[in-house]
Amino acid sequence: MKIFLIYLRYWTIRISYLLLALFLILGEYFYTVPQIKIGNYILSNPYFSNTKNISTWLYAVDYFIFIFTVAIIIIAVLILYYNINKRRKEKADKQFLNLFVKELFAYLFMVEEFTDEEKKKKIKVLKKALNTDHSKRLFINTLVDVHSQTKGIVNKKTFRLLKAVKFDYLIYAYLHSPHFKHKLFALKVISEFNLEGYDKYILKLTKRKNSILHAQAIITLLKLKVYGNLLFLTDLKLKLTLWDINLIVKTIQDLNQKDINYTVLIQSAVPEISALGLILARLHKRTELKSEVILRIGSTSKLVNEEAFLTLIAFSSHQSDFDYLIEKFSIATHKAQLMIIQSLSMSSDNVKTIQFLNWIVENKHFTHKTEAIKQLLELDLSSIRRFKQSEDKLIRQSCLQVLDINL
Amino acid sequence: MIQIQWIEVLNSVFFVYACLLFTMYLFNAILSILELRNYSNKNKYVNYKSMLAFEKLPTVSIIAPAYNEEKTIIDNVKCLISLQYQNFEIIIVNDGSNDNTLSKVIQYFDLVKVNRAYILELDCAPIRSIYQSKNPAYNHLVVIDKENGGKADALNAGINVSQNELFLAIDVDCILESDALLKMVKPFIDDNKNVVIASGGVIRIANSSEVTNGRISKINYPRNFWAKFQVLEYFRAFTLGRMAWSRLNGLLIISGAFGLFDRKRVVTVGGYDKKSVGEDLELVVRLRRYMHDVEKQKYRVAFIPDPLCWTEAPESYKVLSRQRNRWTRGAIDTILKHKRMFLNPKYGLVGMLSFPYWVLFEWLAPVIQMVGLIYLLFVIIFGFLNMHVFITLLLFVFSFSVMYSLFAIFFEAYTYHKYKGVSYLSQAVLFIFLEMFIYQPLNMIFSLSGHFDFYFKKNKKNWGVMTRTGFTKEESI
Repeated sequence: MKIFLIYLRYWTIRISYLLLALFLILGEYFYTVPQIKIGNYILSNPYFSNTKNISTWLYAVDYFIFIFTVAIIIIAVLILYYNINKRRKEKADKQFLNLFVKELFAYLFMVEEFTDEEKKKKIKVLKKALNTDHSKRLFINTLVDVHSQTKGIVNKKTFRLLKAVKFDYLIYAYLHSPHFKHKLFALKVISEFNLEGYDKYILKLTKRKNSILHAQAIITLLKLKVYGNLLFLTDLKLKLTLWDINLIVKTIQDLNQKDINYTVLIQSAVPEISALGLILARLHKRTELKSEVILRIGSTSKLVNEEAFLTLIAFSSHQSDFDYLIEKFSIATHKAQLMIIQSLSMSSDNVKTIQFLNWIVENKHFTHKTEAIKQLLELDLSSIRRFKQSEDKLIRQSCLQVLDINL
Repeated sequence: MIQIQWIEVLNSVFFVYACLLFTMYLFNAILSILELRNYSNKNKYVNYKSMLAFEKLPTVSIIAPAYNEEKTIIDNVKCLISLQYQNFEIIIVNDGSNDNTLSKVIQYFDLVKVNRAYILELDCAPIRSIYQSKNPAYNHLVVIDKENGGKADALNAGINVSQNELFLAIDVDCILESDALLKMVKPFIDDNKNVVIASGGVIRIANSSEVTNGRISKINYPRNFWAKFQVLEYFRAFTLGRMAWSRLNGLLIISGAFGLFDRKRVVTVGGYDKKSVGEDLELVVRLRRYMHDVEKQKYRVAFIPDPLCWTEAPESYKVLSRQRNRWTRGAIDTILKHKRMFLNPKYGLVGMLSFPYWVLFEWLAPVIQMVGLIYLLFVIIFGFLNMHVFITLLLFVFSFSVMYSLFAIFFEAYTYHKYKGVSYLSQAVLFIFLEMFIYQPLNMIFSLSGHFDFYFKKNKKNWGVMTRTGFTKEESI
């Protein structure tokens, strides 16, 4: 029933727009004739005497003046309506939230539980107050906020409260609604409360072409933990954005989820998924995947290449790793190159490292020079003395920057 | 007979021009609604603060040129320092101020001269010294002291010193919302179809609003006569105009007061043009040209409809006239410099629609308005005026202007609802009517003076000094 009402409203609005457009076109016709006969009714045009003798272009202008004047009246009414309505709504929401939050918090944080009879009574009162979709959304949103910020008994109580008010039909209807914002709302509630039974439909949503829905559906599935190994990510139809990758990584970090099939992700032909696998492997310190990581070094995808370097840097512990990083330095991204220079402080082969850092100072971008000089400060003071006197102004500047005690 | 034919031809020219302009405005309104709906849907449940914990976020430098800003500089820097972002630095460029701007900042933020290295990738006046704070709380604040060279020159100096991936160019006196940077950066990491080269945001007028600890605490409709007009003008320009161009990916201007750019690309195209007084418009046009001519890949100039930046609008006739004169010179300069783009299909929608729009409705508008007025006088004097036609056309223009401005007010009320109260509404409606008889004719004169100065006073290039009255301050305890 709820879905039917949502769809009814959805189409009514669209049909109204169509009717308005039709009215404007018919209005233009009406303006040119003395009267229109609809059944037994005759609708006469009071402006006909003014318009019958004028040229076509002036007639068109006249008609537009009429349209603009009508629009002015409609917009003025709408401005008044929205101003009054918004203020009233804001006030009502505030009052509602104050009262509701007071009651809700009293329940959530009270030590003793209500008896079953009391619970039933309270829920009945609450459901009576929540008589509009707007109030229901406000209520659910507050529950989501409390749930996301609490742990333990309070956290469990919010879940129980959501179940007790039986708004599942609303969440279901919103998830299947044609409105995009409804779907997002439903996904947010489902992911926060780990509501069961929706995962198959949400998996379908991950294949939608709408990028926002697609991303939110992925995050929801991650939170539901039904596809823990993240393999569903390899079947995605849409490319992930950097925003999506960040959100996925953050969600996985927050959930402390580690039962991931890193290898499949890293091996994915989709660069974004491969990069995601590399980031996760790095964050979860899966050093056993070093060989997989090395295979991604020099990837044609800039993102994968950079993540492969950063991960390898994080996994480097043997001199051979540092030697490899030095060898591949030229194909690393700017950021990865800086990280390689920084990582060389861990290298045990000082001779090779000093030689390489000297080469960087003399040949590379000045941000690299500065970083290399910083490393040399601990390894080889003679190089520093030499760079201080260098003929290259940039090297001297970089050296002075590193030696400035105020920086 | 020939005269009457000429009059009919001229009538048609003016009429077609007005109809074209109105059609563009109507499309603007429709596209703005679509774009705002899309933005709102996309970002309704976004938790921007989660970005602070992101693994991969571009680094940002905020570059704020300052010239004789001693009155407000401390509050302005404090506002910037408290912005929410993960990895950013603030670069204040003192462009040879001859007041106490520099000494005040040095003293308040405990700054010392440092040997910071930089490359002069972009041309700028000599940098005298660079300062950083001894206080760890301000370790992301950098102050450049340089010789005077103008706003574009100061921005170039800031870009030279900055080494981050993106830079936010702002007017130092602007007040930013605390999450402004997060919202501006999002398009750069949230688009896998296009390369985002820049993003701009909505600027709102803060005259008479209350400021607490460097943030807007209460928004008031300005008390100043001139500022009231500008609020309406900004509604139309930002909420309707730029949103619509953003929808089409044809935005040609990102306000110099608030715009985020890809540093590497800006350096590649040569940075801000020191010779231009409309450096903000010129840079975006040049970047777009570069993307079409050299990189040849899909790109986008993004626009954020949230009101993130608040600025003080000119409150005097004199300052307003100077500002509008400068804007006009900047627009003409840019249009002439990039005239190759005009109706050039190589530049896609930018060449075929955005650029012609600027030529027809920004560059030529005041000239056509002026010619129209002279023409009207001519037909009145020589008795060629058809009163019925004249009144009809007047009503046509009048009703459209009122409708469009009212729609802008409605759009604001419907979306962000920042201005509230019956007093605001009644005043705004009153100023819509006054605008057509006072503000728009004056604006036309200011723009015409800009035209005159551009063609006949070629050397007129300056910072466009703005007399600041400061915001209404309410210090918190």
